[in-house]
Order: sequence, then structure tokens, then C-alpha cells
Amino acid sequence: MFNSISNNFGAGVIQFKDYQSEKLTILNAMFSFNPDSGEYQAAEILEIKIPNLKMKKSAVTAAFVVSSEENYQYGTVLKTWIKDANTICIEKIEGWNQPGPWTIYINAAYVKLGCRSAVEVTGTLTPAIGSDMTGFRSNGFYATAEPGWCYVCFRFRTSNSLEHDKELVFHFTGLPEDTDCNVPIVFMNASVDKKGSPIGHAHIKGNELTIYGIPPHVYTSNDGHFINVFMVRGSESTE
Amino acid sequence: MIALPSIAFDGFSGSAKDVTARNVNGRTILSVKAYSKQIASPAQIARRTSLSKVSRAYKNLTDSQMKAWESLAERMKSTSIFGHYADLTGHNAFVRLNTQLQMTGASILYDAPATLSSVPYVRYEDYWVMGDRIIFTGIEQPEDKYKLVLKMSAGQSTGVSSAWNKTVVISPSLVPDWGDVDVLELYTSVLGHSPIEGQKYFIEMYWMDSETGFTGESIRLVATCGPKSNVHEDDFRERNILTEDNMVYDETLTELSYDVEAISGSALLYVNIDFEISGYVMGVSGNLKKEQNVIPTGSYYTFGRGKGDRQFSISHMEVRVGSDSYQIAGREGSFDKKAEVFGVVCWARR
Repeated sequence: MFNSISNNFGAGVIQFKDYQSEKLTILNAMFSFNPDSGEYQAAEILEIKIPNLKMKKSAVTAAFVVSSEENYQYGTVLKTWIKDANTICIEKIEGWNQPGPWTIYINAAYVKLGCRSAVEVTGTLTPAIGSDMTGFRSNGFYATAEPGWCYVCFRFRTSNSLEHDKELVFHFTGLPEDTDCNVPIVFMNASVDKKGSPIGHAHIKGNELTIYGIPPHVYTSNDGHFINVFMVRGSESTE
Repeated sequence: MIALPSIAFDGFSGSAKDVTARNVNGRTILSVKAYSKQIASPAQIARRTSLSKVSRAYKNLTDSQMKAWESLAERMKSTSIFGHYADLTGHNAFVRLNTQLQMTGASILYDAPATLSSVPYVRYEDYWVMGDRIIFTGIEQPEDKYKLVLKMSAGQSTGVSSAWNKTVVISPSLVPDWGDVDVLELYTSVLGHSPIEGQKYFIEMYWMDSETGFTGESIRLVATCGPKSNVHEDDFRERNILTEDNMVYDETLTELSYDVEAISGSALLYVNIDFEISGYVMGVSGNLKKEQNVIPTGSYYTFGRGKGDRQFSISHMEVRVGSDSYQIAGREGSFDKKAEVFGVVCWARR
């Protein structure tokens, strides 16, 4: 766990949960800022200054940004990368004009490219849905756990029996118990527009998934939604 | 060169036809103008022109600029800047740094750098010199401002023990691509041919600070052209990359740039794809031109961001990699027919 030193877009101090090695960095953070602020407007790339990372540079990976319209949060996906050992960069998106404050979710793996050694699939888990997952059906649940970090990819379909705006708690089996992480859940957007996708707030703690309400603008009938995140295990894990 | 008694020709100096006389430490030295028997290459002509341009530029400096260069030269005298202890004038320092910068296409630096720059060594893991590849791996660029200068000789017979005076600049401003410096094309364009199996090559590398022209100490390597690397004697292995070059296009595809790379550690996959399709299907699939075995086969799920009618919408994209096929398909979320797909994700399923 570490705190940011500064940033150029007015977000205040950002707390990161981290897993670090020289070739892989997993970061978890959730923070908000006002896109109308002078600092954000002046920035070309969002830069977060941090204490030394083990990794000096990474390839581009993905983060999420979510708007704040009451009950109608839309979001999109942003590029993020490690510029140097003291700087995390996030793309400043142009033309996406949803109301602020905006919240950024980082549940990402930052990697170095250039690998020439043979790659093997390791650490895969077979998570299963608990019996309480009424209204949600699986399109496929996948997970990987390694010392210090965990990856989950949940693909859902919802039934129209689901009530909107109600907190939903589900249970899985087969995931590591030492995760505790805020994550975005991306819903399908049936309309053709340029607002992005409806995004809800969710939380994964071990084998328990809490979804803080399906927004009213989400069409629940048989549409596909997903959670796809890397999570740091334990309170702090550094190799 | 003829040294004449000072009594006879005291004070004699100047040039007459091909003979030049100059006074050095009280002695008059006559020398005959030297002509190169070789025809200068375009690169040599360019370098000589650059040297003379830089040298002339010094005369146009203001007094304070010249003083700053003199001061820098004084400091450089006591420090090993170019790999050896230097004895420099302000003019020397100005020419030395600016000719380095000119090689990279940078403009002339009129104001002397305020501080001496300590430029790091080049560190590398391994290197191959082959007929179809010259590549250095594991080169970590210390900072963005440092550019790699690479010099190489033409092939020499194996009995030659030194050909350092035959190295030429292959490139003055290389930037490693995730540790790789791949220079066959540059080498061929400078020397006119690719390396020849069994011949010996002399190589020099150093970092140059592209803001000041300061260079680090040169490392010298010798390689024999062949299939094995020169440090670990390994066979060359390509990076774990799959790109659009290996793809047979689907007829519905109007645009595709495809770059995925496998990274060790639970089969992580870096994805960077741009596509546009014209059909009604939410994706595209096709065959690979050449079978691949560098990326674990199966499905990976990552993020698509709309660039068309559903700009900014997020689709959950299945990137399926087979040994001889590929597929990109929108699954959950909102699919746009024109999208960029990116992220780092784990292998999900067979």
C-alpha cells in the first residue's frame, strides 16, 4: 500500500494497493476528481507522482472512468501506463462530456513487453456461482490466482426479474479469500449514443460479490455484463 | 614532413601551392597538403560538412557564450567525459558536443550546458549477428533523453584482432524497443550488404545525451556472424508476438491493426488492436498465414472502446488465439463496429 505524492488533475491523495515485481505491477485504486477544474483542463496526460516503483516502464493497460449523474453513471475505458518509476499516466479522454465528478477505477496489471521465453498457463482457478445468484446467469467465470495477486473475469447475463437499485450480494466458491477490492461492473447499453456504457459500483471480498444496485437505465433482459479485474491479495504484497 | 633549421627560416609561415609552413615551439614545420586516395562516402561528406558548419558556428557566439564554453571545457579537462581525460578548449568542447547532436538531426546548442552530464554505460543481455538479423537484447534506456549510438565494422576475416578504426556509425539515435535494438536494415543501408556467416564484426555502443551531446563510455564487442548468440550461445527466439502481418483478412474487415504479446506469469496477454468491420456479425475471424506457438492458445477477454456510432461504449472483447487461427468478438457490454481493443489480461479458457 502506498499513497501518491501529487497529481496534475486535482484528485488529492490517491491510495494504491500494490503488488510489485520488476516485470509485473498490479495496482488497485479508486479516486475521484472534477473534470471542470483548471488543473484537469490544463493537463494533457493525467500524471500521478508516486514513490519508487520496482518497474521503470510498462506497456499500456486499461482503467475505467465513471461519471456522476445521479443513478445514471456512464463510463468508458482509459489507457494507463507506467511512464517511469515515479509516474503513473492515465490518458486524458477528449470528447467524452459526461457530468463530473469522475471516478477512476484502477484494477490493472502493468507489464513489460519483450518476453522471449516460453509462456505457460498457470494458476487458473475454477470459480463457481453460489446458489444465491438469483437473476444472474453465467456466461463464463474465469480466475487466476498467484502469490500476491488474483485475476477474475465474470461474464453475466441478467434476467428481467431483477429489481433495479437494490444492493445484491452473491457468493462464489473457488476464489482466494484474501481479496478486498472496489471494482466496476460494466453493463450493456442498448441505445446507440456516445455516452459510453452504464457502469455500476461493486465490491469483491474473497468469495463475496456485492453489486450496489443495477442502474435504472440498464436493460436487464438477457443482456451481457461483466467484471474483469486484477486484485491485489492481502493488505500489501510486494515480491 | 620536413623540419628546417630555425636560423634559415625564422618567421616563415603560410602556404604556397601544396606546401604549408607553420611555427611550432620555435621550429618551422613544412608539410605537404594531404589528399585522400579514397572517394568520400555520402556519410563522410555529410560529417565533414557538419563539422565545418559547427566549427563556423562557434565564431558567431557572443563573448559570454564563448566564456561559458571555455568554462565548460575547463571542467571537462578534469573529468572523463568521452571515455578518457580530455584536454579541451571551448571551441573543442563546442564542436565535440555539437557534432554529436548534429548526427541525430538536433539543432546546434549555442549555450554551453550548465553542468557536466554523467552518461551511463550501455548494459545489454545478449546479441546476435546473423545473415538475416542483427539484434541486441536487454538494453535498458536509462532515460528518454539518452539515445544509443551504434558503430559497426564491415565483416573481417577471423584472423583480424582489431578493426576498431574501421567501425562506422550505423545509427546515432537508436531507442530500444522493450530492450531490443534490431539494426539489420540500418546496417545494410549503411554498408550495402548484410553480415556474412563466419566473418568477424567489431561493434561499439554508447549512450548520448540528446539534450547536451555528452556521450558515455563506449563498450566494445566482437561478434562472429552465426546462429548462436555471442554471450550465452543461445539460438535466437522471436518475441512472443502475433501481429496483423501473420493474418489472412476476413472479407468483412475494412481495417485491422493487431498486436498481441504473451508475457510469462500465468499467461498474461498484452492486447493492442484496432479494427473496423462492415458486416453484421459482432467480430471477425480468420486464419493465420503461419502457425504460431508463442502465445498460449485459447480465449482472453479484454476491453473494446467504441470509435464509431457507439463512441466510448465498452465492449467485452474475446480475443481468441489459435495455433493457426484468430478471432476477435464482442461478447458482453456494447459492441461498436469500429473500436480499439486494449488491456492486459490473463488467459481465461481453452
